[in-house]
Amino acid sequence: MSNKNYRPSGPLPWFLRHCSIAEWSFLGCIGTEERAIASFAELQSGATIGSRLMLEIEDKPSRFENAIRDRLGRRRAAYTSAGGNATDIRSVDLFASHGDIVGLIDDFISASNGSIVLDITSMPKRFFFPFVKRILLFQPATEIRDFVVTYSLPESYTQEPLAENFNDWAQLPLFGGDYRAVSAGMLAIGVGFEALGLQEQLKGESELPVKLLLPFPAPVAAFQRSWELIRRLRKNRNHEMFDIYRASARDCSDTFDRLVSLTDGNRIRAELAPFGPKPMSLGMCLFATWTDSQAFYTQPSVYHPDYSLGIAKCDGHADVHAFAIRLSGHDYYAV
Amino acid sequence: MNYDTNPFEVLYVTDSPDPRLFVDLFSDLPIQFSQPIFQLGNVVLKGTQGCGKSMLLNLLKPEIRLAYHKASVDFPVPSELGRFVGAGINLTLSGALDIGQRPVIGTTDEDEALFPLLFGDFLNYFIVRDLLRSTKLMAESPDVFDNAVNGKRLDKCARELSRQDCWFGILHGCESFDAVCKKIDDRIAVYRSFHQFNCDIPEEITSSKTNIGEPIARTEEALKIAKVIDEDTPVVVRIDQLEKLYRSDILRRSLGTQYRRIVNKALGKRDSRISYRIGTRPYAWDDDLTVFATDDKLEHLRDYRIIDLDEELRRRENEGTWVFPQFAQDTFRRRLKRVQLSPSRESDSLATIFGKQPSDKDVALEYARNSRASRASYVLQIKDDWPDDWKEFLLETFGEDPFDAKLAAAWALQSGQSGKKGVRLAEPPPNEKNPPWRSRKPWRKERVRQCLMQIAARCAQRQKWSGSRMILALSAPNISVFLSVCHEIWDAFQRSESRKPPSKRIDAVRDGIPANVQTVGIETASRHWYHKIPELPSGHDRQRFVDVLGRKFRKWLLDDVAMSYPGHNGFSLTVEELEQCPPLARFLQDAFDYGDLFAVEHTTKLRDRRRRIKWYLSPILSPFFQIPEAHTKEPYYTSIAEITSWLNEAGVVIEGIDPAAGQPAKRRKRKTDSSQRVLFGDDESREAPR
Repeated sequence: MSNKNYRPSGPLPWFLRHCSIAEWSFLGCIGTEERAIASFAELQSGATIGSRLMLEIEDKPSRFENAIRDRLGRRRAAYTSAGGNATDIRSVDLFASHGDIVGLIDDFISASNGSIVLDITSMPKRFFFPFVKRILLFQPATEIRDFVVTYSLPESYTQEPLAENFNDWAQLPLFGGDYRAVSAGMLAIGVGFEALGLQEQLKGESELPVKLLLPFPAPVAAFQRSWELIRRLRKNRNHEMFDIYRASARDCSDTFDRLVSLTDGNRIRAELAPFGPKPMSLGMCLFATWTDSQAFYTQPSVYHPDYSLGIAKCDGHADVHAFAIRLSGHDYYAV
Repeated sequence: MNYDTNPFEVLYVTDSPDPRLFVDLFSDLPIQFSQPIFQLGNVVLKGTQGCGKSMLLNLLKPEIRLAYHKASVDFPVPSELGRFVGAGINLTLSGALDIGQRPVIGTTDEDEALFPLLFGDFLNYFIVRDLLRSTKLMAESPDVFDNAVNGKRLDKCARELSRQDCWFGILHGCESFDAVCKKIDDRIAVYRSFHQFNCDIPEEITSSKTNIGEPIARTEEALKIAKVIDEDTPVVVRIDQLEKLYRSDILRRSLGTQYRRIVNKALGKRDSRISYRIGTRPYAWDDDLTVFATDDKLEHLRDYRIIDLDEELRRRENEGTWVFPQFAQDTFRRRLKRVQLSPSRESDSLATIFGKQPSDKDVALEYARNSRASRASYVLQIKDDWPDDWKEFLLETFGEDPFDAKLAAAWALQSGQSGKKGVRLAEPPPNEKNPPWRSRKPWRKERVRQCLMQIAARCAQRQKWSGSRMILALSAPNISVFLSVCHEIWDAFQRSESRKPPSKRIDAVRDGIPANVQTVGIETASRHWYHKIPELPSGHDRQRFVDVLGRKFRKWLLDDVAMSYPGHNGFSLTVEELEQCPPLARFLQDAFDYGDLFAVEHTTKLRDRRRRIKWYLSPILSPFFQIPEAHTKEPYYTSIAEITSWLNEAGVVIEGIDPAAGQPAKRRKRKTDSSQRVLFGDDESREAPR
């Protein structure tokens, strides 16, 4: 955590108890995972939800089609039984154009009451990155007084590949960076479970020093998978290219501060590759938003229907973490 | 010798911030057949992933030439071809692929018509900017670039350029080089900003869209009029990884096709002022040759020349024309030299270190070393009802030469010219010094690998892979594969030597690397390439498909006891049938382009004389699936319906292919004995790693 700035974050029930905002606008994503609805359900039980939008992302056709259909049906039912309406759900193609993605968030902002909860639990980076940027840069900024991002932890992840058939290395929507900025001096990679095309990228255009952000502390199994990825990334390559830094898997603030430090407050430009846990990716997203940095990803076209299993519990509640990005007009993350 | 350093540790030289590494390790041999890249005229450089095409295109960048100079190494391009100015665009990083992601006008039809024009305009500005950047860079180091650029005349060039009508007044009033660059930068920045939804697109841009290629050609003219460069200095423009436009989910396919046609239009102009260099995967190039907004198609040789790196490096009928061994040898030698290792026969360091493949007989003896005599009949698949004289002959031969015995058993099972089953077994074994399975060289040669595979499998052994020729066969035509095989072998060697006392250690350069150590390294490399398949776009589907193929090929070759079909480590399909199923064609072609499959047209054995393409697994995957790497005889003739059934088996869903259309073909009944009990579980295919 930054020593300059207290950034409120913690379990969602704790967060709701400590803030006086009575009504929230909610934007989430109905995925195949059980945890996809957890944030909505917790918020519903602790506060009032006004306008809401639940995206249902359509993957490319795959062998998982039946399983995906089955899980989505269950999640829809869980959503309505948690107090949502079927009409809140909107289908959208995983490879929707940037214009469509921006249209979704702009419409949501217009309908919101200015206090927004964005649940990124089951939301692909292709959507939540531009959503976060659009919300933060919305003008007039005073229209969005409060902005909180939530993320729910699962009990476990599948041991099979989490996603399949990724695409080429490309910038995430709205993260093409500043054309006039000086060239990047490093590539910061959030380390996840899988390489997803990273290895090819590292032998291709990139000649930049690589800063690997290793999720730590993290459960032992996850830690092992991350190290395995690092081993594969470094195989057959000059090890001097790589530096490893630890960053909390559950705290976006840690990643954000690490990036600020590595780049000397953006004096050295960084290209970002968010392949790690979602809170780390959120930290990268916030950094890239405020520094207009490029963020790259190799978008998979299919996600495993059992990407994660179950919902982790914390004090009898679903383990939903809330990160305050802006409260009462105060931005907690700045470079 | 140093046992701690692996000369192949760093496989990817483009990773290195040290340009010296590129200069030291880049083998200039491909330049011999790639010289058109440095000459006037458009060139399409085709090649599968990892074949080295990007390395070649990199030579067009002035930065690489500077690196050669800094390293005091001669630029590898012949001096008479080395005088050129290069520029280019990275389609992904430039932001070109963002065009079309945000509506401009708002109505779909109008936007769809506008996007390709904006794409062309963006390409023009981006490439011209890079051309000016290259020119400036070259002007700053006149000694490196042989005074090819006169930096004192850049402002004159800028004034000339700003007067050109192709810009529709955008550069009007720019009096200096820097002013022109700034104006161009402004326009690119607006494009980028617009696509990040930071601003609207100004009317100034939509009303001054440039014609693809024209501003680039006018820039060349201005450079020459102002005498910044000589009349005979070619200007070459690189557009690498063209397939990203239309073989990716990131950009709508219909839009990507239009963008491709815009690039085609630039080539189709036959404008002698600019020479385009298009880097592309082999099949992807032929997807669409239509010129934008016309029905015209690009014509090979009139509009462009093709350099197909895979074709150049592929082994032909005449082995004497095969250049890959020379390329590999040079690359190998450079790596050794960098760590101060020099074999006595430097000209053939590969053979010195990896040696020859052991004889077939020795390999078979090694496989059967621990096989008791009782097992011989299982290895040879001898049936109870075979004549005793044959049984005795084969079992006796097996004790001395299992390879010969296995070939003899296969020969006995075949019907030969008579066409009658069992005719050979009905006769006593040939009592001659050189029986047919030895004397008929082509027959024998075609079955060597299948024979060894069957012996190894039925002796519960993994196959041996070693020798410089085997390494070349497993790697060609991909130099990246070759380097990774060398790396893994060296790694295995270091591990094996590290356990020995120093006095017992062997010197790889002097004594060579033992065959069994090579096998370990090659198997590791093979596993590495198998696991690498999903690391390339859409690779998970291809990996499962490759899995299905690998298992099928192995089963077919093992079950074929008579060795009648030694070519069934590949399949063949008519071109006509493939063209009727474009989604499947695209899937198979992608597998070829990414180096998972190998494909080549072949002569049909059927009377219909239809053109056919045969498909094999990439040779480096052979050790992983324990199948022969050699491509001999006829492959398995299949149909779209059967391949669809393989796709179903692999869980591959392709839009446009109805899974219900998949029908497994009824395969020929094989000459196997169903009553023969299996000695090792289900069958030997279980040994294939998964």
